[in-house]
Amino acid sequence: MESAQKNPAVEIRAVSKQFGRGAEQVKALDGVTLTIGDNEFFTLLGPSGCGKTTLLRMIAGFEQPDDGGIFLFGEDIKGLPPHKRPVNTVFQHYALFPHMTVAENVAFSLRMLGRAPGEIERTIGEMLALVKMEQFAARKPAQLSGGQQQRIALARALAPRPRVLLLDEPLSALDLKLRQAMRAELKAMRQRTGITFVFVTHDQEEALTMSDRIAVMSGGRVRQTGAPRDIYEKPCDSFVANFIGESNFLTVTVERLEQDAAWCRLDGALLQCSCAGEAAAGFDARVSIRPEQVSFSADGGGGPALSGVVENLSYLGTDTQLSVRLGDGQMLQARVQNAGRERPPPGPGQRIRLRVNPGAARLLAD
Amino acid sequence: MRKPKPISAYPGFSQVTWLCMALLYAPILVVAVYSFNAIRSITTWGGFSLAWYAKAFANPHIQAATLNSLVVAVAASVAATVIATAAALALARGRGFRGRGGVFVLINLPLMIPEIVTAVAMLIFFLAIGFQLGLLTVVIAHTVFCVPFAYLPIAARLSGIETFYEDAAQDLYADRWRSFRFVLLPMMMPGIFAGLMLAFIISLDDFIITNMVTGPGTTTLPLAIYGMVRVGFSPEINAISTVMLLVSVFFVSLSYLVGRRRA
Repeated sequence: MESAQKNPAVEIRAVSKQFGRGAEQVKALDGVTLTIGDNEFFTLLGPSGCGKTTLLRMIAGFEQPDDGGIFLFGEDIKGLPPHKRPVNTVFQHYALFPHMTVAENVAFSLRMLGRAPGEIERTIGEMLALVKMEQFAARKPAQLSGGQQQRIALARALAPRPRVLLLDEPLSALDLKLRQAMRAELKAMRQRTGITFVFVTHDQEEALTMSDRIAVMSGGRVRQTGAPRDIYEKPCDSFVANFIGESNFLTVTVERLEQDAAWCRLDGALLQCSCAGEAAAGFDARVSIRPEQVSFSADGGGGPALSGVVENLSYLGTDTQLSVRLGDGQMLQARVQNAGRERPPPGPGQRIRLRVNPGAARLLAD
Repeated sequence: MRKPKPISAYPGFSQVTWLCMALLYAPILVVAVYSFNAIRSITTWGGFSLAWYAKAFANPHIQAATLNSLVVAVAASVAATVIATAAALALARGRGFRGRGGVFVLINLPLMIPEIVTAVAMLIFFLAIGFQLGLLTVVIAHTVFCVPFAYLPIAARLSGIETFYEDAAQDLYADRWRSFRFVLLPMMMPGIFAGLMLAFIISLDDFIITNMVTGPGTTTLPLAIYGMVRVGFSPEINAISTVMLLVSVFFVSLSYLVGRRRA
C-alpha cells in the first residue's frame, strides 16, 4: 500500500454542481478544490446553503458533480454508486433502521458485505464496546435517547471500518451539555480508530474545538482552509472573520509595509497588522480586530494607545464587553476578563485608553 | 371570540345520536339475534339454537360459494396489493415524470365511478374480446376495483418514511434492491398489510360487479345469499350473514390496528 501512503484521503478537484433549471437555478458548488489528508479530522464549516452538505453527499455518492473530480486515496470515484464506496456516513437524523435492533443496525453493513457470522458477532461486540453501549444490543432505536442513538449511528458507520467517515451535522439534534460531551468523544474516537473524519457543521465552536483543519465555505466556494488557530487568528476576508467568532471591522490607512506586517494608522495610533493579501501603502483598508485582543487602562500606560469614550458595557459572566467610540467616530468592542481584576471596569461616559496587541489586527483582503 | 360549545351540549344531541345508531345497527343486530332462533322464522323468537349455523355449514351450495369467494378475495387482494405497492413506490420515490398527477387520479378513479358503470363496462369488455366468463373474470374485475383501496394505506405509509433510511442502507453497502428488500419494504409492511386486508374485505363483499362478470354456475357468497333470499327467508341466511359480518369486522379492525402501528 505504498501509493495509499502518499495519496491524500480525499481530493476534490474543481467540483461544480448546479440544482434546478432556468430561473430557479442555484449554484450549490462553484469550483471547489480541497485536499483532505489521511488521519485528519477535517471540518466543512459554513452557514446553511453554503454547499457543505452537498459536498459531503458527493463524497458519499448521493450526488454527482457536474464538473470536476473526486478522488479517494488517489482513485477516481466519480460515478461509483454509494454502496461501492469505502466511506460511511453518520446522518444528521441518525437514520437508524427502526425495525431492527441496535445489534442488527450495527451488523447491517457487514451482512451486506457478506462477512462470516463469527466475524459479524465479534464486530458488533467491538463496536458497541467502543461507544459504551454493550447492554443496549437488543433494544430498538425508539427505546434509546438522542445521545444513545447518536452513539449507535456512529458504531454502525464505523463497523465496516470505512477508510473515510463522513459526519453530517451529527450533534445538531442534541442538547448543549450532551453536544459538548460528544465533541470530546468524537475527537478521541478519531484518534483511536485512525480513520479520516470529514465533519460538516454550521457551529463554529464545534469546528474550532474538534478539527485538525477547517474549510470555511460560503456561496458554494471555499473561502479559507487552515488549522482552527489560523482560521480564527488570521482570517483571510471579512466573511471568515465575521462567521468565526466576533470581530471589530475598522477602516485604517496603510502607512508602511514590511515583510509580512503592515503598519496602519487608526485614529492617530499606529497598529502593527498581519496581512491577508495584497496591500498598498497610502490607501485605506479594512482590518479585523478580535475584542479579546484589545486591552484598556484608565491611565493608558505604555505604548501607542487609542483613546475613546465608553458607550455601553455588557456583563457576560466570564468577561465584560465594552463598546468604545474612538476619536474618529468608529466603534470598537473590547472584551476583558472578569477574573483577577481589582478595580471595577470603567462606566459609560468615561474616557479610557486602549491598546491592541501587536500583530493581532488583521488586514483583510476585501 | 365566543368559545364554541361542545357539540354534546346542544339540545337533542343524544336523541339524534341514538336514533342514527339504532337505524344503522338495530337491523344488523336483529339479523344476528334471529340467526340463533330455534324455529324457522325471522320475526318470531322460538328459543336459542345453533341449528341454522350447522345447516349453513353443511349446505354444499354455500360451501362451494364460500370457497369461490375466498379464492377470489385472496387472489384479487394479493394482486391488487402488489399493483398498489408498485404504484405507490413509483409515485412517491420515482424521479418526477410527466403526468404524475394524472396517474394519481387514474389510480383512485374507481372509487368515484358508479359501480354499476364499471360492472357493465367490464362485462362488455370481456364479451368483446371473447374472454370466457367464470372465476377468472371475477378475479380480474375484483383486482381492478381493489387497487385504490389497497393503494391508500400503502401510499400514506410510504409518504411518512423519510428517504434518508434508503440513503443509509445504500451507504452501508446495500444495492438498490437490497435497500428496498431489507429497509424500505419492512418499514412499509404495516401499510401493505392494511391495504391487503381492506382489499380482501372489499372483494369478499362485492355483489354488483361479481353478478355481472361471473359465468354460469360460478357463485360467490353474496350471490348465493341473494339467490336464497329470492326463494324465501330462513334463519340460515341470518347465520351466513352473521359469520360474514364477523369476518369483515375482524379484518377491518386488523387493518386499522396494523395500519396505525408505528414501525
